[in-house]
Amino acid sequence: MKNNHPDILLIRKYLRGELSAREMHMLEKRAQEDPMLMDMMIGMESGNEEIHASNLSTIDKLIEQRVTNKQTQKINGWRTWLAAAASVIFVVAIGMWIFRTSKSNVPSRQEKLAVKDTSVVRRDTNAAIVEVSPKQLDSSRLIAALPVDKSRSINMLSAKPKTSSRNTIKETGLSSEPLPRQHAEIALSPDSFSLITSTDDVKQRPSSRKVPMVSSAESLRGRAGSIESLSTKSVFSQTVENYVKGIVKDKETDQPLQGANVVLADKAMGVHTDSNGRFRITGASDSTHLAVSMAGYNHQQINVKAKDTVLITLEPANTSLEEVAGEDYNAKSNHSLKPAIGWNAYNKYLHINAGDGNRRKVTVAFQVDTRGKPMNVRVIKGLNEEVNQRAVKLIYDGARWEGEGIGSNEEVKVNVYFK
Amino acid sequence: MSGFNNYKQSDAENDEMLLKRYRQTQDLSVLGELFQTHASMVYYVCYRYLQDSEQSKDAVMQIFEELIQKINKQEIKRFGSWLYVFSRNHCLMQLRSAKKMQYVPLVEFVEFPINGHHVDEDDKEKSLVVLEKCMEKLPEKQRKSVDLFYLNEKCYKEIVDLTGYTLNEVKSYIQNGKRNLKICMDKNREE
Repeated sequence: MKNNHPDILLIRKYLRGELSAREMHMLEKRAQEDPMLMDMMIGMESGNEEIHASNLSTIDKLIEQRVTNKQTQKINGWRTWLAAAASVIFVVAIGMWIFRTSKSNVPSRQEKLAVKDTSVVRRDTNAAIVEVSPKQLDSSRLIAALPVDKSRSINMLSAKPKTSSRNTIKETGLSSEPLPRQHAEIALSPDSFSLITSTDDVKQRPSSRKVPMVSSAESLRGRAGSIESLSTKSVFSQTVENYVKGIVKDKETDQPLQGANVVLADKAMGVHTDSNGRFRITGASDSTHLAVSMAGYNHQQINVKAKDTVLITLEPANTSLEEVAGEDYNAKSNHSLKPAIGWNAYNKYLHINAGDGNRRKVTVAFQVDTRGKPMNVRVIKGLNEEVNQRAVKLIYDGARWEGEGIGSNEEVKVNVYFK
Repeated sequence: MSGFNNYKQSDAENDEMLLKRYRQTQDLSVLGELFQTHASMVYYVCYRYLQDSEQSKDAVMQIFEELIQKINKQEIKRFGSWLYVFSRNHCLMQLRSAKKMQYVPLVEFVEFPINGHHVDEDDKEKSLVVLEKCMEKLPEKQRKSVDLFYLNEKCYKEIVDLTGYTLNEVKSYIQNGKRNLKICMDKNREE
């Protein structure tokens, strides 16, 4: 079996306790520098090794099978499916437009269109077949009759339809005598929402009223128009219009951040920033939240709307997962800990020692060890690294603390003001 | 350490060779061979995030399918690390879409590593002094853990025995201590 990465063998030994302390240390040290190794170790130390082993050999077989399967399977993402959906809608729209225009022998407001019409109308009705043939079995087909020069047949790939149920929509020609007959048959497998909604519309409208033979070109035009605009809109909403783009930077260094997670809050859809910190995310509605996060930075959420271009700066986080857990514990100031010399004296100490400059605040939080000495001092809200470190040092160098919370994981929050 | 590096070196060369061959021939079996050498890595990484062996198995195959799609469009320098990032992103996206919530709290899963400090010989002396200063500033538990791990080269288990912290505490102290050190060192280097 080729499936045995040397590191995996090593980690297995490590987990079974077969390595010497030195070897263990070497592996751990490498893992500290290599997130891949770290993830692998964490993955391997949990779960049942037997299940893993059987899964791994299954995977091996699946890959073999997949590879020897000569048929070029293509699993296409939603994008391709969407493109197919868009083309279907497009064809429907065109069909309706031609239908509409061919009806407009009746005097029309749209003179220009009418001129075009004639040329279209003169042509014979030929069937244009658009075949959307997805993966092997199921195929969603669309056949639309369009008056064009010659019949065309377009093949395109599409995602494999998830359901086998089909919507068949038939619309038989509302043909008035001098006009060419039109016949459209659309059969497709519903998979994409935009597809379903638009086809439903197509289905409902014609059937809702049996169209009078000659009379209302106006109403026909209205119908066609609304369907057209509907399809155009849904195509747009998926592709062109509703994106938000921007750039993510480090607030302190102003450097672009690669690999930050950018997510549309109401869509649960996300992207990562590229090496220049840039991102582009589609599917934004008129007003939505954009959540941006990255390991080591504070998470940020902003309001955006479609077509916005935004600059997002992330503030480096000074907290770790573990410490965050402690934060809520003592968010209020009802802690038992207090400086041994009393708050007044302690504040005075901070006041005197916190150097010069404009009045600025650094909030630090820390615990107190059993001897009353501050420990794990961390900056909750800081200014810059230099000032933060001074605040931390002040706490370490300052008075001892007392109270019930010493030696526990109770946290004290202290504001250090720099003037 | 060098032993591992050599191993990795030849691994990477092998990857590169297979990748090149695949690009020339478009023969899926070559890609399959390449992927298989990394499949267990992908599986365990998936398991680390998804915490479910069935899902992880499926994810590996999905990743392979995606790989077939994407491999021709991307320039890949080191296949192993590229595949790792690719797989991790796949799993994170899967986790995220599974949540389907209004607001998505983005859990920070991974600490990014300190990229090896490349220090000139001249600066070495200076940075050692800085390092010592920074070490002193670390909270005690972090300092102790970092000290034992990096300077005394103890493994986690030994540190657990020596300090009485739990294994998870040790891991997290080392992680946090390392980050704090880096911040401190960077600051001093700029000055």
